Amino acid sequence: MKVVKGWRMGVTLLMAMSIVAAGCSSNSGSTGTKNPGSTTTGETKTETGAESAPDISKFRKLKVYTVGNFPQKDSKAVVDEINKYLKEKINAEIDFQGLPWSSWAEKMTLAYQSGEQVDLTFAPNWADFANNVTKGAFLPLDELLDKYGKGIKETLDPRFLEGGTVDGTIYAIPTNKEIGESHTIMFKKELIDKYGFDVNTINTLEDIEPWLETIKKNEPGIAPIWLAGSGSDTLSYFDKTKVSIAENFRYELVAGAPAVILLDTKEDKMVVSTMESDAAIYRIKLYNDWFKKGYINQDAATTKTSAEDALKAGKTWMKFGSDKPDSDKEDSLATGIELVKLKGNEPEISTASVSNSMMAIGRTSVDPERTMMLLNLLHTDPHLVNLIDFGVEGRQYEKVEGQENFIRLPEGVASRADTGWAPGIEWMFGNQTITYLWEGESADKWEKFKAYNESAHKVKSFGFNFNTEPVKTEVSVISNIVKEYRPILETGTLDADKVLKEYNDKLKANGIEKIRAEAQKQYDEWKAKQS
Amino acid sequence: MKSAEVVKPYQRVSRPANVLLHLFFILFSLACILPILLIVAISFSNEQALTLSGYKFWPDQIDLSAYRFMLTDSSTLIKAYGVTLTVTIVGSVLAVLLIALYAYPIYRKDFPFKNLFSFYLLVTMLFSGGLVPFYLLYINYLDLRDSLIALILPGLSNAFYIFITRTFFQQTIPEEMIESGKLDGASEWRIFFQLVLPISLPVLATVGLFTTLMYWNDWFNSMLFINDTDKFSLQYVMIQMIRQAEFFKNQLAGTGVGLMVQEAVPTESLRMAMVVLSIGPILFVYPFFQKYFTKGLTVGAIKG
Amino acid sequence: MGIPYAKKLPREPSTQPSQGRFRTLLRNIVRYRVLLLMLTPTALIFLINCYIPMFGIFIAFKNVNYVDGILGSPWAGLDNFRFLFATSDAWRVTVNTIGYNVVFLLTGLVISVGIAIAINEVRAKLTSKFYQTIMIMPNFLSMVVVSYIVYAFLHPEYGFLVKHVLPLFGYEGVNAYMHADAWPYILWLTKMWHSVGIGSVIYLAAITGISEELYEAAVMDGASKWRLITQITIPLLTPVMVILTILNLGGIFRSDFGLFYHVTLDSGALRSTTDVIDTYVYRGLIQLNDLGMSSAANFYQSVVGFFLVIGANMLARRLNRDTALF
Repeated sequence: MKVVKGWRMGVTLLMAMSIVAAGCSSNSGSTGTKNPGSTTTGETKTETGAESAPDISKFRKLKVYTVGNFPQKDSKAVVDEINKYLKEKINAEIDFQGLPWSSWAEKMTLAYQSGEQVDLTFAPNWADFANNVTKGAFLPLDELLDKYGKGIKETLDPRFLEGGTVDGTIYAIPTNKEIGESHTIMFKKELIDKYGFDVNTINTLEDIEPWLETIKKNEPGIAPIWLAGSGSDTLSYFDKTKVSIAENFRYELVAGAPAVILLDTKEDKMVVSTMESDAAIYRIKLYNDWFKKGYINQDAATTKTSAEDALKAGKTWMKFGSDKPDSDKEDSLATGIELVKLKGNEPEISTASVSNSMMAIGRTSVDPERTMMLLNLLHTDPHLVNLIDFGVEGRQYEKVEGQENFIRLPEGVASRADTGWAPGIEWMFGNQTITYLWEGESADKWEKFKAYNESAHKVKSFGFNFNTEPVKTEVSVISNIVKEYRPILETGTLDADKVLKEYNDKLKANGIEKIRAEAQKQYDEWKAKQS
Repeated sequence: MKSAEVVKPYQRVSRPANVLLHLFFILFSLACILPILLIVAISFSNEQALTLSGYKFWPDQIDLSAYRFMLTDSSTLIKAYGVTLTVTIVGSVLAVLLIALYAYPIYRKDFPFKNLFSFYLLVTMLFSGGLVPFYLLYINYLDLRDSLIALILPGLSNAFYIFITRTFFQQTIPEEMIESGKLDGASEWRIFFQLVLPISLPVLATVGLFTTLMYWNDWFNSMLFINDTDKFSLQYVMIQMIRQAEFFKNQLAGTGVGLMVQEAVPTESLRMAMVVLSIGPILFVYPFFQKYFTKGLTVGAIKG
Repeated sequence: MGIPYAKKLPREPSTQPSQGRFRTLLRNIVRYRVLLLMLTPTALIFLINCYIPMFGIFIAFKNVNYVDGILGSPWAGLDNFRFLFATSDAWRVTVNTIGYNVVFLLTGLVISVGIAIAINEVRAKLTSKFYQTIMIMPNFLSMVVVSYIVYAFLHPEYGFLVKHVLPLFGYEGVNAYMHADAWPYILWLTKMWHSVGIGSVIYLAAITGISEELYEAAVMDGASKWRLITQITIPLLTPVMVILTILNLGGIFRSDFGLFYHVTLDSGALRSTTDVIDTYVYRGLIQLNDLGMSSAANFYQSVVGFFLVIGANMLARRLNRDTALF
């Protein structure tokens, strides 16, 4: 009943969480181009084609959009300091728009649609990147990169650039950080020691079953495995089963496609995981088995408590984590519980892993060239990146005596959150490898990163991004079905055989074939272009 | 003309019926208030204890950390309270006035355009152009970014309440009264302000209550139009924290990104503490409106 | 404002020669200019908030991109509507939406009116006011918070019902979030708890508007308490009930999103009885982020609601001209 008209609009909004496109009438004050194909726009002054000496005579105020723990108390001081520095370097200042997680997606879509000035913007692949590119939100960057992004080209692993490439044109530049993804399960060291478990003896997921049994028997109140079916804490994250290994991890996720579509790399075929991937079916039955044995928390399918929170509260002894260098040290610090990590797969470079943190230049930028210069600085200038990541020296951190590269919290400050600038955006800006290290981190952290990156191998479909537009109707329908069944299957909550059959029948009845065929078609076309 | 609170004999229910009524309402009130008490209890609970043993009416240990957390950032909260208070009061008063001013003409049987203007309202209730044109209008054309007007204006177009008010007018204001007013030579304005409104206090109070609640609970308009942290509404400050966690669970599920970000996910005790803080003031609002739900104001208006 | 009015307030005859009609229009505008002036500010605000943005309805029929804007983007015909019908779940979702709405409407009406009347009869006025304040409190909680409360009752391990009540009936370790059949009742109960308190406020206000003389006259004719309620109170509440019903019918294809999404914890096993159009659209579009499709869904819901309202209004008009919307 009654009350709150705005709520009705809110639901429409929530219906497409990041709201959707559609600018206003074309005279809505867009200052940029009307054609996503053209490169420079607006009032730039470099028409003279001077390549070596960029013209920075005109002062620019660039709007930089990103997301993080905002608002931060000491924003003004930090941004002022950044602007002081930038003004000297490239005669520009930034209007820093740090948006909170809760509204960033929606506000960005509205910003793009309404033609507001957007210079530099955080545009990762998991936030509608491909869609935004198609709709014309970003400028193509190839030329700009060549002219003003030399620093980027020198420091950034070229494999990264594929992450921001759509149809052969670069639309976003990824952040220089870990390039691959690998997953681990981390266990509470205390219990590992108590029962004499040895992580080095574990080679497959099934191998931890005896551990689970021991924990279940001797530690009541602790779930041997904690899953949160509706979130990212699912066992498929750690896919090292006997069958997967036997099949040599031949099934890969496909960027942009519904989770149920996999690429069979052996046959180069797109398959439906629950129908044709033995590894997936085996895994699901394994979870079901473990659930029945009581190794998994009973409310796994619906709980909103993450494994990490459950760990901190003492309800479980494990959590999932990434395998980048020093991740166990980082997570131990973050949770306050000493952890031991169990390695999962080798680091993989996927379309998703190289594009989960990227910066783009908006179509409505007042000066794309200056913006590219800014981005270049972010990739090459330690002073600037450290300013953005960590704040102002003396206010947010102090240098460790005698060490140029290490920092610690100022006297009397208990945690980073209390310093007034800790938005958690280190992984978004420019080049992480040139930033300071916190006291306690390994001195060779960045070397380890490099080694990690070099050891990472590309997945077969690296660079391929599925475009949902031709089958968007079916995708929306299938999305619903996937959401309905996946948490149940991935947590083993109900009888696997029965649910699998139901799921597969429903998928078939609702157009999964059409999506698979389209994915196959796009993939074949893409592959042809690669060779 | 004030009504007497005396209960006339014919109005009294029989004793047993009265007891039954009380019984029913006591049970119903318990059902309504117990969950609220539970929320208060959770707000005073320790976070780990919550995850471990669930909700309890009486927490094992009283933990003030949620409130402490909120009060360290008290300047933001105080400003948000101020914003919400201003917007709510100004907005509700304006809304009630505007609603009555529209409801009155369309209630008048002799007004030849009443069907037209009723239909005008009805269409707005059913059809909407959606969020984007609305946003564009406010930001680009009306230039209301970071303006308190942007928090007040959207709530002033409430067709639902206009129809309710019109119906009330129909029920409680006989045509003869308007006519007698005209016969006495009163202008339309005088009739409206001195005859119609005083009699309509119950419905005006009802509409006032609902619009007050609406403005008080609004966070959406802050999210859309306000960037200046000093101008956030109270609910928006709270919703931000809560939706932060949901964003991770929904959007980033399975992408591995959620694990990358080291952020402070709001704890449940904090969420509940925020509910407590935002409900508190409203409880004082209802009694304020209640006193307008009094009988007998029509008596005498016609007789006289 | 000094212009003397005619003593009678006539109703204009509806048939006029066409030239005369225009003159009559002008005459009416002048004659009723004060009333027109009164509603102008509000009408203006509706123009700003609702009518100007209404061109957004086109979005449902277009494939909008940022460069061309809404007006310049290419047409997409009915493409954006397909996903609403191209699923084996379309029927289930529609049935659920309508079913819940009708039940909520009817039961909510009866209960709210009942509560309003009952509270009015309570002898101790102060206590009555106390009850009123308490019973509107559930409505202050957002559905997200309500979902926590429900969770506290239904949690598979330590939920209040699961741990203490159900074992008495022999049910151990029940996970309510996996059993779809119970949810129509759970959701109904939750919705009633959340909304009947505040819903009764309107009726309470209406009751206070009923003239005492009517009761006094009836009592003198020897009417019992029951007769007073059924012959005076309820009939006089009817216009309000009708209006509210008609207006709520406009939302027949819409639902309380928080109720169906958050309270159910978005549990997949419950879809058969808890999936409604709004949740279906949300889940389908959350990754696609397609504005055209969500607009199309909205338009679809609006159109259905519109025809229903017109129909209900015509019906109400037949029965009693005054109770209709227009």
